[in-house]
Amino acid sequence: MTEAEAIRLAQQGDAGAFERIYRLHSRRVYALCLRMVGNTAEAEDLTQDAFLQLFRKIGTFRGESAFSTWLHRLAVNVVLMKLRKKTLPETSLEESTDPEDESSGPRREIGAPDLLLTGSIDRVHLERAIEQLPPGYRQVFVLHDVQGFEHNEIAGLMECSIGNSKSQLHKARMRLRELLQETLRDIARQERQAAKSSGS
Amino acid sequence: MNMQCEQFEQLLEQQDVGALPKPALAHLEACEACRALSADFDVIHKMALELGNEGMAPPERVWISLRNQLEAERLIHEPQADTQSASHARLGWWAVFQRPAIAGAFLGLVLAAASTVSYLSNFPQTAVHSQLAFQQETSPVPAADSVFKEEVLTVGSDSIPGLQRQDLAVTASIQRNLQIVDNFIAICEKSVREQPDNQMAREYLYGAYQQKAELLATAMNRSMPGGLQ
Amino acid sequence: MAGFILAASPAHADRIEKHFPVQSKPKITVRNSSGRIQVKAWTKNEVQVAWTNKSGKSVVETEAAGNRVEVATRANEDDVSADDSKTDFEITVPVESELSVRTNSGNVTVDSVHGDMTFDTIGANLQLSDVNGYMVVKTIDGSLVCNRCSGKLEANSISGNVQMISPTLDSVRVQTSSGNILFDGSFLSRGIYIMKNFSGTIEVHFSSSDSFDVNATSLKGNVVNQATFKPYTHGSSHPASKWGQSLFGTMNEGHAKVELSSFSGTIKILKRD
Repeated sequence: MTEAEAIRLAQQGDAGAFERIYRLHSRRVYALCLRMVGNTAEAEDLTQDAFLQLFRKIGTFRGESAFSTWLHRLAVNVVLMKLRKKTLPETSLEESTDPEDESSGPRREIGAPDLLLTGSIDRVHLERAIEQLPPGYRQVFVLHDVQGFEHNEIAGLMECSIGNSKSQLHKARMRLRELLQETLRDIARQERQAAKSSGS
Repeated sequence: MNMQCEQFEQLLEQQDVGALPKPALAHLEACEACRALSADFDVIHKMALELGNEGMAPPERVWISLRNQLEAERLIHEPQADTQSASHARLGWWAVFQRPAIAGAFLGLVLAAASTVSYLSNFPQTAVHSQLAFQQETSPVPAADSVFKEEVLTVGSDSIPGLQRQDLAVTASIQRNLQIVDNFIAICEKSVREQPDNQMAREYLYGAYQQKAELLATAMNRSMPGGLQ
Repeated sequence: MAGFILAASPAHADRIEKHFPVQSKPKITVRNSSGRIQVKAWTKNEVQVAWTNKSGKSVVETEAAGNRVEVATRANEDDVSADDSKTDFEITVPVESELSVRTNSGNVTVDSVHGDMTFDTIGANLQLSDVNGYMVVKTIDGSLVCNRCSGKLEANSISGNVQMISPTLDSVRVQTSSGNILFDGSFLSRGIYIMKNFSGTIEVHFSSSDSFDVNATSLKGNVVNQATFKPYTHGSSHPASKWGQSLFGTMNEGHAKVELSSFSGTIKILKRD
């Protein structure tokens, strides 16, 4: 069953078609939810909510945009709506979202040695660093860098200014860079210790 | 140099490297620290895009719960149900389910269980604690919690209409596994009561509740006429 | 154009066989109550379905529409016992096929099929060999044995055991309540392996060349470990659990992520070689 067939049949209420659509898209939607909220139980609920809304509205889908884009946008809206209801002050873009960051976000210490990340970090490192971002940074970073939304789209989705979206993204990247450099330093330290202990 | 680096960073915040004005590019050429920053942003961005192309499968319970919800809202139907004669489709080794109203009510309870469980999982631990300790406490228990405990968690397979007349091995299997899950629930509840801030025990309790809800849903599903379809 | 065939099995155990021409990657759906289901692969673009029903009290319906083949058994009279409804299937499918099997009891075997598969059983035991794809298994007390499986596996059971022998799986999410879990194979780079139970044993066999981060916790049981782990090399150090027995660490570069957890069972991390 192609996706187009599945959509047509789902619009008629066909159970198999619903399942087909779910199987085709649930991995991406769940990954999006998980990265946005950083919590599996909530991500599961949000995935279910997103598909529930999709299936309630599928009759209105006329194919003007790609189905996956439509679903994606809907999933993002579900997540943001939930986050807005739940933790508005924590994730508001108008405020500093990092409890340790009371001024303008992470800044470089000029003169501090920079460790180049190229070729040194992998997906697991990055996933873990994203998990450690404050919620506001994480949401903008996931939407822009992971999901590929433009700043104007993010501004619309998150009800903030484009400048704000850019600023949050920049801070998120700076923070990620710091976290990843910390990881590289930890690895180097451990390797030195391992070499020392094997040499002695 | 410091000022220039800060200005460069401000520009980088506003636009991608490719769109930077000439003076910024000249600074980038000359400044090792800003080159490193820009290269690192590039690495992060590329790797993040790769992440975006990867998916993570949600647990199967998400689909099960979603499907139950879709059925409850009558958003879906099985295609064959429309095309086959009712008499043919409704006969099975599954005994005919005579009282659909009870089935609907029961499914409602299972759904209530699922949503209550979900509600519990996001609840502050003190609330979960009070939920678990309600048998010993005199304070009133929220209505949803009472329904969950009294109507759903106490349900056994013998309460499920239609199940008794099924394949005996299936009935025995469901009963045996309900006992296993009930036993786990009791053990987890005890653990959470004793160690209310033990997150892992609470997660296991949540999992056991969910397992019971899913098991009851399966039992219901299999006891329906044409339960395998 | 949909084809619909209704074939009543005779009162004796005759074997009935149907053939359905398909294109590449067909979807085959099987709904049965009890009986053996064997699925094998061949290189033809055809699905062959053969079945036997000894009692003759069940009918097998087959439907082919587009690239889909659906097979379902139904009792043709009231109060048919499990024995009478027992229908054994032998199904041969193109190597690249999608499978969906739902049954209550009886063994299910699938051999050399490549494609996404879902299995939903009550007590049926499931054996998958040399399969490749995204496999989702849901069972109540059936066991799962996965021999040389590739791709992704999600399995959920209450009292069934799960064994993965010589797998090349890059994503494993296995959960059973009272059953045991065995993983005997390599952890692939970037793979994620999550195994969880309540009271059984979780046993993973590693080789010294494997590269993974491990997080193993048993709340009331034990963690038995034969590996030498370094502290985590992926950034955030994991807080030691104040409840139960926990083990956190990295083997070699920590390319895979392994999470093992049990409520009261034993977790064993043992050397394979």
